[in-house]
Amino acid sequence: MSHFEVLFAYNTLVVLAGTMLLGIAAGITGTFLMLRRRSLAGDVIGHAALPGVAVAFLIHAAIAPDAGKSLPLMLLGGGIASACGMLAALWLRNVARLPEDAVMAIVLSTFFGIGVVLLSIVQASPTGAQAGIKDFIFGQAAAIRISDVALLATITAGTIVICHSLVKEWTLMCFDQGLAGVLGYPVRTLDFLLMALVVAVCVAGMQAVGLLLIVALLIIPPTSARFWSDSIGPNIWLSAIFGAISATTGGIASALVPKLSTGAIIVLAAAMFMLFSMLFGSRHGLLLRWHARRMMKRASQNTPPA
Amino acid sequence: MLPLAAFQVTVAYRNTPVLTDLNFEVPAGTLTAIVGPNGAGKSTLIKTALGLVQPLTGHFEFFGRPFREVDGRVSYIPQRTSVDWDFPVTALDVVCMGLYRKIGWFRPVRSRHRDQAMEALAEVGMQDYAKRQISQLSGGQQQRVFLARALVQNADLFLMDEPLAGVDVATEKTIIQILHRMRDHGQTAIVVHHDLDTVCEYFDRVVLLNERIIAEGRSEETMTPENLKQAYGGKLHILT
Repeated sequence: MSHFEVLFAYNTLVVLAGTMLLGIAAGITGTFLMLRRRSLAGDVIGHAALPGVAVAFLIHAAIAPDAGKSLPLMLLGGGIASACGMLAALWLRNVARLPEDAVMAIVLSTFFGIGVVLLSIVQASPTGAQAGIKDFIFGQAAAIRISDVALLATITAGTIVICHSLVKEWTLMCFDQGLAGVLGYPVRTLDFLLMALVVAVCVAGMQAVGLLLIVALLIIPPTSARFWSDSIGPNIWLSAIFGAISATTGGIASALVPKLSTGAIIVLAAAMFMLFSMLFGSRHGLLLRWHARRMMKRASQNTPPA
Repeated sequence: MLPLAAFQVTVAYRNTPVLTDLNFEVPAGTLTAIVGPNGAGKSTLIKTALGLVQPLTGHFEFFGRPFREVDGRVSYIPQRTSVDWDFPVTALDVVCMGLYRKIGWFRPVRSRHRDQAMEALAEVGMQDYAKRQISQLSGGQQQRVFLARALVQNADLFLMDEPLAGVDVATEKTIIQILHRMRDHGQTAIVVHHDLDTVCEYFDRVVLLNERIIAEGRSEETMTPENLKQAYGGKLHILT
């Protein structure tokens, strides 16, 4: 088959649709995550999923040894572990009063450590070699099926509806939590809802991007968008577009070169957009800033001394 | 009905008491300054009153009721350094935030809300800066935006955490003028203030604080050398 035929084959289109939807959901959710200064939370949620995925596999292997792996079960396990990781981080911060960045690093590495230990048990089991847990770590978009696309479409639609409804409240919470509390908003519930959405997006994206790199799809697109606009609305939809294009690029690469690690390509594509935005961004781009400085310098040199 | 009253409020962070056994009342239509040295618990007092920090014992009453039951009658101006000024919002957007509760859940900000916010910005002399991203404003201008956000809520009681910290003379005059105008309309303000020289000029009443209430009452009667010495200890000799 030529490259052209591969790109328009049914399986490829499914993969592209799946990655694009993921990019949109991650871009939108990530905007609030970044504005809340919780960028590392995506990393915690991703890494914390590993023990859950492994435990889910082991349980499934014990109950039904011949059934192979069960994707929904592993995602469910990952989601539960991610949520536990996030709650552990919030608890450590609020109750033990440890600094937030330290808490994130501790929870992230501890959960991942547990995951790696469990992984060695999985690998030793008879079906472990084909468990495909490696795909969860590094991502394999080519594995996306039409049922996964349905799940991703649901999550993306949900993300759009929730963010559209709560854009005011979440913006306020991210900008000035104190005022949100004084105005009587249930800040904890709003915060919890945002984190739940992040977990959902992470779990949905685990298969395509992998749990190590999912944080990139959450954080790089909104960071790129910030160079183009100073308003919340455009930041959200630009981030969704950047996320969608980056993720689709990864999907295309994954379809053309089956051995490529999709997650890595997606992250690299997102990073390219980031670099481009940083240089050419119409609001805070570096070129713009350099140009403005040069003009100011010239203007000040041309004014005759008083 | 008293806008604010504290009943035996004690607050502790971790194991350290920050505020001990506070009792005071703030009469309606007055401007009250909360004065005390660094670490006296001034910000904590405001945050506890607003339910952002939980007291160990005691409680506050707003207009005779708990804070949660006086929806919309109280507005709050946090310290300017407490928010991220690089946030992608304009001055107008920030003022609109004061209206979010009135606009209601799931509803977008409409042009009549923006008109209301513009009026508040005009009141603090900031109408020309409405479309600016907030990091492009000076410290004094940022403080005025915060004040406009509080004004737009049309509250009866304003709690302000150091609104005059790091602002220029013009902004200080504007803010004080607005405070006095508010008082003339029967509104009440409680302001954390750090400049001892201007307390009596700007404010009717003072709560002199250093972990506990040192003195409380009319400004001239409260700002006595003995009281100040008690509140500031040896730290005051450089100021007087």
